[in-house]
Amino acid sequence: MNKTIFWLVQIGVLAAFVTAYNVASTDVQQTLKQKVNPAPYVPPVEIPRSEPLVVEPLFNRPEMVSDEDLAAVLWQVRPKFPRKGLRPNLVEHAIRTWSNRAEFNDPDVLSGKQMEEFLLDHSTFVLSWNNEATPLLDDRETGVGVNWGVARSASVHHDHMLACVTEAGVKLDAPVFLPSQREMTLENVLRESLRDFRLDERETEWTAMAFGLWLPPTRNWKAADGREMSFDLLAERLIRGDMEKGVCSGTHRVYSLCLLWRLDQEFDILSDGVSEHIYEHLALVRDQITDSQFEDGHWPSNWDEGSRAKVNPREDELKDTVIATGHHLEWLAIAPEDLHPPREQIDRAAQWIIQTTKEQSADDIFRRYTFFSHIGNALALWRGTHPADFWMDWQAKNPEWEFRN
Amino acid sequence: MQTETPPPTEAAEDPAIAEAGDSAVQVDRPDASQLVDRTPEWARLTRSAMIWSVVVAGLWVFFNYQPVWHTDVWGHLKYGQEIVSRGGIPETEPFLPLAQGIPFRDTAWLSQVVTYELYSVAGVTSLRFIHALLLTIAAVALLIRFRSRTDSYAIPLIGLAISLAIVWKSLFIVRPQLAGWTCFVVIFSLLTARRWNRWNWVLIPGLFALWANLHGSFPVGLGLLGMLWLGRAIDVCWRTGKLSSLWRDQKASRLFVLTELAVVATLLNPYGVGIYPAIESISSNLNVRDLIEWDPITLRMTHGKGFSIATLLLLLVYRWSPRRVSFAEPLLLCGFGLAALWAVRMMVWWAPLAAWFLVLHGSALMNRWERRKAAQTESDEEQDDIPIRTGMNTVIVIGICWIAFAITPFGATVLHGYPQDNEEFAKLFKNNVSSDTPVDLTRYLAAHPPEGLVFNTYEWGDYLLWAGPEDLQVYTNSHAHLLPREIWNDYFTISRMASGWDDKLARYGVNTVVIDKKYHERFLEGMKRDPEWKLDYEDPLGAIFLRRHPIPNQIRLAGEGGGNE
Repeated sequence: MNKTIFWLVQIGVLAAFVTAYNVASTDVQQTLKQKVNPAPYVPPVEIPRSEPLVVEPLFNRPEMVSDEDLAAVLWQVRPKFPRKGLRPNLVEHAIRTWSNRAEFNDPDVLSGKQMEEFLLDHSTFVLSWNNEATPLLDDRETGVGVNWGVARSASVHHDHMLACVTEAGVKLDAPVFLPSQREMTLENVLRESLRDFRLDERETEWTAMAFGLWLPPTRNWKAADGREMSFDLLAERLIRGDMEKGVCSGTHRVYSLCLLWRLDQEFDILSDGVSEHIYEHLALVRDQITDSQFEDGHWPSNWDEGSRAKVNPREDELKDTVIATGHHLEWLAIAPEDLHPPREQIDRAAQWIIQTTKEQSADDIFRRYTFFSHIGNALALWRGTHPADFWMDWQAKNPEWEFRN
Repeated sequence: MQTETPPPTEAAEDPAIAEAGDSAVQVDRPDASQLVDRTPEWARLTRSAMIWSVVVAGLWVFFNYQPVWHTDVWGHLKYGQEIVSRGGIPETEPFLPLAQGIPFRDTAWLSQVVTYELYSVAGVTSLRFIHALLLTIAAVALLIRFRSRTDSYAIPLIGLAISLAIVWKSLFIVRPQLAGWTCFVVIFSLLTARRWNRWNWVLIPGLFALWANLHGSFPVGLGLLGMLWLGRAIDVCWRTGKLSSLWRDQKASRLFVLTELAVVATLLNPYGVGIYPAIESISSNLNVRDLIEWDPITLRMTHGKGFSIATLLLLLVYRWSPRRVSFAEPLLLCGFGLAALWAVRMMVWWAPLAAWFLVLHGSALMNRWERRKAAQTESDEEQDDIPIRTGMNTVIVIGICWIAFAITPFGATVLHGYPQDNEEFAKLFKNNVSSDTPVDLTRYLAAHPPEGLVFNTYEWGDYLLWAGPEDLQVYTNSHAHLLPREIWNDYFTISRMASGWDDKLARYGVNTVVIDKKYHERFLEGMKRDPEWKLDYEDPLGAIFLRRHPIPNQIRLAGEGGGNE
């Protein structure tokens, strides 16, 4: 073969590939780069704020929850935990309820700041666990992971810690101290979550909440595997399946859906069709809990069965009814009134849950803290406030007050 | 009728004509001059060509009578319809609600569009036509190449039988891969011709450009070219002992440049250079490893038995072949053979190569045997090898072609149209598709559209999408690589009724389950016994179950179209 032709072909081939690469989309270029240098990929997602959004409560109903009742319930759910072997799951629930600004007169009760440190600073975590446990924070090449699973030293659900500190108001640039001494921020935790989240994992409730409170008005983003993610998809994922299937008898899904729907009212993060679908779903939940509520005001764990739940009552333990009733009251507090069951039903539920919480001993509460903490939050929301704000105000006005059951 | 005698010169040249002319004068018989072959020289065919055309016509008719398989093809039609209707390839999966947002890199878009367009014009028989056409093109390409190395009729036929028979189960299904296979065979045939045709510089890259749009298997063709070059390069270096001689070798340079041009040609597709990572992501997808065609070959499989027999035959002919073995041969046979051992679906590429080398060395063996035989008999007889070309053969070939076209289902519908009567039409449709196609069940489903996600068995997803009710939300179709891993794993948990299967159905909000009996009899019987479910429809192929207390307000997104037949 003629040498000139041969070398011309070589130049042509090279030019063809250079052109093909340059005209390719950025996704393709990124993929090719990754194939050449297979490093973990962190998708670029815009996080347009440094402080998380807050979904404000819509009501203030003192006739439903009196100050004394609210104070009593909040007293019961103060984060007064033994410091040795402190379970992250407890702290996550507590910080979510109390926020990172909570302060207590009692030094045995963890303040909001102490809880934040426990979750975000490995050296504080080690003080509680020594080196007997796997660290909560996972130092990864791509960011900060949170170990979760059945271990007592781990978070219990995927992205639960992130969602809880987000609801607690921790800022994006809050420092995160890892076992490797590498200093990072909450943004690295969020970005790692954006990277490793999969839409079809078993529990998506907390991821949806965290993303909802950080990302709007961003509606779409790309996952690490290239999947086009959106709040539409997250919402449809939360709607999918039997309503009772999900953590805490499916009530967390309802809360997350309601939260996304509320955020959509302000930031338009959902398509109209999906927004309507959420509303219809919440209306369906409303109808089911309207029909399934028992005379004393509690909701059963099979609330999704509507009136059938009363005809064939399930043998629920107290914790199951506390979960169902407390969690339903929580999402109802941020839902518009047309998604509520009749007012007297909500009142009855509130009375039942207040009474039940007040009757519990400190040990009972501690054993089921994660469930009762929601009640404190729910009742404060029904008073149009936040547990920390109410409590600090109450504490200032009644410095000697103690609740005794 | 004319009775004139032919001109003397012509009669004198041809004694047969002269004789006939004399007779005509004497007994008033027809003018034999009219029997002169007036067909233009170029249009005359040999007897051998006529015989081969009968063979090809027989194959064509045989291929045409293979029923349309009940899996992939319907899904490809659906994607083709989607591409045509929206005027472009969707960027994310358009039909599977559980795969929403998943990037959709359609490496078979052209096959899908062509098939859909043809289907919309010519109906279900066009699928048989496409299937037969692709197989026939490949068969002809192979026969031409085999025949170029031997005068025997038997050896090319044996070669063709090996090419087709051992992978028939794969070739039986009309799908884009078949188009890729045909490209592979044609390119291989062009590359192994005795003489290099300069048109190949255009034809081969052109075929690669086409292949890159028909199916994502074109890297196999690039592998073929690359191995042929490498084999040649080793041959040259081995022979000369110099690496520099590689650049002076015409054939090695040609193969090298041709490989490069082929690679460049494959960039002419909607994804450009992005097609390569797209193909890589499909072939490395974990889901597809669960499909039987991605399993390694075992002797229990038809493919495995065919592979073993062909390998044994290869060993035998190589043992006694007088022909020099080029390095490209073991490279190709071992390279593609190992790929086939790794995943059974790679067998289709190995089979024509194995057949070619069997023919090549088989004919060399036979030639040697014939030469020895001739030497022993010391025969002085010389055979006249010049084939006689006649217009009659051409006429026969044209007649055969016409008959072969007319007697096929496609030919019949082209010539006579489809029945107007609905029942007759339905009967014809069923006759054209495989007996495993859930025609009646899908029709029932179309008449009773389910709400929300339908859990269906994998084999039927494509047909349900194509012929099922508008906006049917199927759990899966044959595009397994598009499903998230969790969902694909859950498919097996549910369809095998493993622990937690019913919980998973509830978590997906499934209210309708469609099951085939052929592969999921146990699942079907289990569903019959489950009090949560009631049997809604059953026929000899499968059944539909409905949840007694449906889960309300389920998936709404995705899915357009539907309701085809």
